[in-house]
Formats: sequence, structure tokens, C-alpha cells
Amino acid sequence: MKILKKEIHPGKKRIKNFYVSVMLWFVGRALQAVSKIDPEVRKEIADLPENCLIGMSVYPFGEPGQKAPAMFVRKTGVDRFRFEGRKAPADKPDFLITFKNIDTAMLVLTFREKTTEAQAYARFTADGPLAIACTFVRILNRTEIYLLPKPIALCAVRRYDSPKHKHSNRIRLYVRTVLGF
Amino acid sequence: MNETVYRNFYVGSKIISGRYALETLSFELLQQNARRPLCLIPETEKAAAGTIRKALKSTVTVIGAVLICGRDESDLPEKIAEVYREQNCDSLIAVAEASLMYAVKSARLKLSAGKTAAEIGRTAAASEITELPPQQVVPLFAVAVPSVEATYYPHELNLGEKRILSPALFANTVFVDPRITKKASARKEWRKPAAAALMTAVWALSDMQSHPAARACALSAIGQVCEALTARSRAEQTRLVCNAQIFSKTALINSRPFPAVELLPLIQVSEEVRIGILKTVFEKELTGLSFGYADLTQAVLTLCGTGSFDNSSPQTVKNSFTNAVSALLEKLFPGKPAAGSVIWKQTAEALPSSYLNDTDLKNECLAFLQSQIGE
Repeated sequence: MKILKKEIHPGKKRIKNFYVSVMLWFVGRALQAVSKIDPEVRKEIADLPENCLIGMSVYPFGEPGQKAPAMFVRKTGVDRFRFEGRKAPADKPDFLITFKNIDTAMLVLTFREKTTEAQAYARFTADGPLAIACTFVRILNRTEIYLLPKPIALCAVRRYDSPKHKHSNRIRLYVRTVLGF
Repeated sequence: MNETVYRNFYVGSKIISGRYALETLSFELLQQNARRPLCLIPETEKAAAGTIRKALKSTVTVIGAVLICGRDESDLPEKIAEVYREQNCDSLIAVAEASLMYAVKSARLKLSAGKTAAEIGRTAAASEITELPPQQVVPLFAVAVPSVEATYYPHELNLGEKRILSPALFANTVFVDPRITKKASARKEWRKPAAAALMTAVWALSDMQSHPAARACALSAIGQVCEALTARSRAEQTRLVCNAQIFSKTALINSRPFPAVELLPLIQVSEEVRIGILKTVFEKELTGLSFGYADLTQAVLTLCGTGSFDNSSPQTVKNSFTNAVSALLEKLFPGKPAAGSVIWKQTAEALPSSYLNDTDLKNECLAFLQSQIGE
């Protein structure tokens, strides 16, 4: 028996981390924008609890001294989302999705695996009430339908319900997402 | 399904299989409050260290040390325990073939009880095992049955005459990752475990009182075998057959309406209850096609807690069986050998010829039973 190596720090997956960070940032801003455009989404948000904070992160987010991609949105007013940024707010999120590792986050965020499929494979943990989880997934699906062309969106969502004024809303959504209002 | 029948559905290890299985290693370690694992790798598989390191990238896990273990090292458990303490590790990752698996289990005992497995007697094991360090296993061979079974039945540690049985010895998590667990046997060899998995699954499925989850596992196993038949690559076949084996075994051990023989060692019950279970097994199970002759002997030995089982030749099997029956009769009916006659008569009559291939051996065993019954 021999010791091959002592104390190995496995290092970082920088490109994957960067991609996932950008995607989560973009999804956060898109959620903020879609809440101002789509009446269906507004209806869903209205059912969420007051001041509800929802987040998506990648493990080891939250571990002391560790940086990992994350994004948070908060319900403001009656039926709006506000993008809170990439750092954890002071209060505990009402609902938090945590991908178990950066590779599985990549699988979902490169649309190689549907959200529902990833959930079935236990790719992520969801911490919070089931009602919020279902609402959030429906909102996320709606946002993805707006953001992505149909062939790609079909890879990301379980059921494709084409919204009214999809194309005009898509342009508005992109402009709002990029400009952040 | 009879809903009044009591069941306790339990699978000791969490099994994660398929693409990116190993990437969840860090997350699983954290669930067990572990951040600094000791990685054990057989000397023939040094490349696995790189794969594990790659899988742990962008996580909080720091590998305490990587140990390259030889196949025939006698004091391996002691050395593993020493390095574990030196490097301040808090868990073990074993890229395992069967022999290393046993060494790791033994090392865990050493770390927990402060004694080697050989020093701990079988009866004292359950009380002496306190807090075992978490163990993760990445099987090397998917098709080779001993490796998969060693990971799946790690509650048993057999060291010569001493045997330690405890559910605590299960590996916490088994990662069947195609990057490491892909050493396929030759094509003709993977068919045998596939057929075995299929048989086991059908067997579990045919039990009308199976737990629904057990039946689902059995169906999954059949599905995996069917997929393996049409799979394009050998690695894929290997993975599927490995899954099928795990599924079918899970189905089988959970399909019985009362505790199966394989599960008896896991049950922490009093001697009286165990004897009661054994009586049930003899009266009801033996008339069916539940287990083979060698299994029966092993089960008897396990329950009696004495003797040893050697299946190297028909003669040694016979001797083991003879000793086991003597010990059992003593346990079941202390001082009253005649009281056991009803059970043993049923046993002798119920023993189908398929259990014993050797006719002479069967006759000898039956004669022995008759002599014990006193008729």
C-alpha cells in the first residue's frame, strides 16, 4: 500500500461555472420581465405568499467561504417579481432549488434535460412548500417558452402551451431582460 | 396484495447509477457530514483517482489522501485506519473490487470499535459497532457478480471462522458510474448474470404477496435486461445488467411476506423470536422454491451462531449441514430432541431433489435427519 497523494483540492470548473452564472442571471431578469408582460404569469404570482423569496442555486452555494452560481427573485406588490441578484438576501428563501452539482445544472440549463425529468432523477433538491414549487415550475416553463425557439423549448418543458402574442411578447421580454426593467 | 401482512421495506445502501452519478459524490458526502474523504483505489486502477478528482471539482470536498492498495496485503485494514487518522479524514471512498471492499469494511470496524474484525466476535458485533465512518463505494466491475454483490450485501463480513453481521456495515452510497464501473466481461459472460438477474426478477415477481415497490423493482430489472439485449455498446450492456442485478436483488429480498432467510441476519431480535421465524421458514418456505440447499445450511448456521460453512466440496457441505442440524436441534428443543420430529419429518419430505444434485449426499443427509428424529 502506498499513498499516491495527500490533500487534494479538486479545483474549479470555471467555464461551466461562468455559463451557469450567466444563465441564472438571465433567468432571474427574465422572470422579473415576464411578470410585467404575461397575464397568466401575473395570475400565478398573485397566488404566492406576500414578499415570497424564491431562489435557484448550485451546491456548494451557502457553504462558508464558497462561491457558487445562484439567483433570487422576490414577489413585490400584488403580482410582480423583482430580481434580487446573485447573492443570498438576509432573509431565508421561502423556496430554494439547489442543483446537486455544476454538471447537473449544466444539463438543465443547456436544455439537455427537462426540468421535470431532472427532478425525477433527483438532480436537484427543492426546499420549500410544494404549492410554491408547482407555481414556480409553471412560471419557469412559461418563461422558457417565451425565451427559447420552439424546438429548443420542447427540450426544456414537458408541455408546450403557446401563449397569445408570443412573438411580440418575446421581443418585449428580451428587451426588458437585457435592459433590466 | 394482502394489506394486513406486515412488511418492512428496507434497502441499506443508496444506489446512484448512470451519467454524472459520481458528480453527486460531494453532495452525498455532505449529507453524512463528511468533507474530507480518504480515497482507496486498487493498484490496477490508478486512473480512477483522476476521475474522482474531476467529479469533485467545484465542490467543498477535499480529498484527504489517495491510497493505492495491493491485492494481497494482510494488514490492509490496519494501514487504512492509520492513514485515515493521520490525514484527519472523516469518510471513505472505495473504488472497490470484492477483496478491497472487505478490507474497507474491516477498516471501518477498526475505526469504530478500535478492534480488528478478527478481534470482534460475531455475537458482540452489533453492540460494538458504534459510529462507523461513512463509506461510499464505486464498484469496478458491473457484470462480475462478486463485486456488485459485495457492495450490495456489505452487512456481512466473513473472516475465516468469524462472521460479523450488522446493517451498519452497508455502504452509505454506491455509485455505479460508467466511467469507472465499465469493465465489461466478454460478451458470453455478461449473458450469465443477465439471465440470473432475469430469473431473480421473475422469482420475486411470481410472489403474489410482494410489496408493490418490490414488484416495480422486479419489472425494472426485466426491462433493464431486455434493453441490454439490444444495447449497442458493451459498456452500455454492462451498465444495464448491473442495474438489473441490483433491481432484481432488491425486489427479491423485499418480496417476501415474512422475513426472508437472507434478511434474518439484519434483524436485531431476541433468540426466541429468531427461532419462531425459523420455524415459520421451515414450515412454510421449505415447501416452495425459496432457497437452495447451501443457502439453507448457511441460514441454519447463521441462526444458530455456531459452526462454519464450507462449500468447497460435497463432503464439506454435508459436514457443515450435519453440524448445523445438530446445533439447531439443540437450540430449538433443548433436552427434548423428539419434540422436533414433526418439523424435521416435514423437512425431510419437503426437500425436493433439485436441492441436492448428488443423490448419495441427499440420502446421507436424509438418513442423518431420520436418526435425529429417532425413527
